[in-house]
Amino acid sequence: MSTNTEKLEAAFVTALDIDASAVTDDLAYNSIEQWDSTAHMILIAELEDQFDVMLDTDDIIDMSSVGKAKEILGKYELSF
Amino acid sequence: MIKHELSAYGLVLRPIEEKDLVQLLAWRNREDIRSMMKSQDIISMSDHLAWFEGLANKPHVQHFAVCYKGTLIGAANIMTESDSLSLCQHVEPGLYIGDEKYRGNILAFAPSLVLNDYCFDTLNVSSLTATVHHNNSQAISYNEKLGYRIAKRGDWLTMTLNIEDYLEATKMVRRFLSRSNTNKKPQKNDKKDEA
Repeated sequence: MSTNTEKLEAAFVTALDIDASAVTDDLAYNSIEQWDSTAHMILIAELEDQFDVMLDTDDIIDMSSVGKAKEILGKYELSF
Repeated sequence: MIKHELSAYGLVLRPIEEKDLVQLLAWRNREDIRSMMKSQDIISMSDHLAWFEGLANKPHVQHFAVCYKGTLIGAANIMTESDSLSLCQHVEPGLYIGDEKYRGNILAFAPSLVLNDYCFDTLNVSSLTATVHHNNSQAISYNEKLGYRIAKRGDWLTMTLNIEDYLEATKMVRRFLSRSNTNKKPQKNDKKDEA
């Protein structure tokens, strides 16, 4: 069974089509070509599927990095 | 029917007020913003005030302050070549986000969604037009994500949008930006409650 960190990494890899090694806490929205607004929406859908949650609009807007994604998902009783 | 305040997707688009003018002028004159506009001249405060004072007498254009959580984050407008927005078929929207935090953010789509819904659903226009410099790949990409298609090429591209393309292209972003923020402690499995 995958850990939450592995699920998060898998969501970023799938949504942004990047290598797993690129998924670090510092990776930020719009900092790489692959993480544009379209990919961001795919990412949100992936995260919601992986963790079976529905994010609020504010969370979707605020999800500006991998580290921030962990912080936001933490509000949904998920730990990383 | 002309509406003076629009509210949706977490944003309020309200009439521009005098208290907004200093911030709007500072944003409008910033190089990165005005370089994307058709008129790229630096505007003086006196010209800006004159423009503001004339807004009420222009039935072919509406200007809005874009506010998120009560804070001004940008400006938007719609205009038509016809005499009045209430009688027109074609509208050209304009938008800039001045607040750095939201430039390039998914929230930057929200003002366009609010304006486009208003144009198609309330003003009943048949198409929207955008005029974009051919070098402005960011704006071209942004418009394409809203469903715009290039209708005419040149130094300045003409892009057009009909309601079918708009609704299809923005299905996902409208869904994400339409969710309510409940302020309750989020729970796993909340997803099951989505309509």
